[in-house]
Amino acid sequence: MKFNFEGKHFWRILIGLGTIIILLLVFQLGMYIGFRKANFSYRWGENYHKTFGGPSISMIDNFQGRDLVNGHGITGIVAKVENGAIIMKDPNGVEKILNITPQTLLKRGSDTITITDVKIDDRLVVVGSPKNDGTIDAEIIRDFYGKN
Amino acid sequence: MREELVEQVLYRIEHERQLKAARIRLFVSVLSFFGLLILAVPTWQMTRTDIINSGFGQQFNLMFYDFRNILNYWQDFSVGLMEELPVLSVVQFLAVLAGLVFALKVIFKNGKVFIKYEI
Repeated sequence: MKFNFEGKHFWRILIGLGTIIILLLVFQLGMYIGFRKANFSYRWGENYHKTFGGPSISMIDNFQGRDLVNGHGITGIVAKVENGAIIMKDPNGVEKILNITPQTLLKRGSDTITITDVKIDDRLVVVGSPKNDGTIDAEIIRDFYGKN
Repeated sequence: MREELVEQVLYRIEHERQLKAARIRLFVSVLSFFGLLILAVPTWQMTRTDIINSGFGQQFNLMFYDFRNILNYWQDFSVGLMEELPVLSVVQFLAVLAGLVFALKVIFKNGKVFIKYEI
């Protein structure tokens, strides 16, 4: 049986294979992100869930992934500043501890600020790296909103 | 002459059949289009709210304020963005958008048939 490499069946097979490849790659990316999120959520939960409370656990929130805690990108308000760390509360009410390291960049507008300039109720956007103890090493902290 | 008459009759039958089918498809697609258009407004508002509440918008804005610093931590920034993306909200809005585009396509396609056979 001859196979026509220029026929429309050939292109349909090729498109079908391409679609499957793209879907598999997207699935793999989802697993990668999901694993990292779940891993940090587990570490966070071990240390802080009982004390600070955690995200809501309704079925819809579970399906949307809101039962897991973000470890890399955080947006929220400052709940407390102490001992070289900032405790932030995100929009879901989850509290996270940000470790301020010598490499952490704190910015407000075009100014570089220090941890002493950060006050309670300041709204911050943070890029960080989650640690095994459930805290986050802050890499970039930006205050978009200025003083409240 | 008799053959020409048969051809004309068959052509007319086919003409009417196509026109009827085009009318039904056009009616359904116009109804769907307006229904989806109305649905698009609250869907967009819900998606916009979810993007703001999730922090995705603010995280994304960091790219324009601290681009050079973001490059140093691009992996954490990318993962953070993907963690915060409200996937379901975006999917439902895109589904409505896709429905609108498809409905428009059906309207244009059947509109042409309708105009061709009616004129």
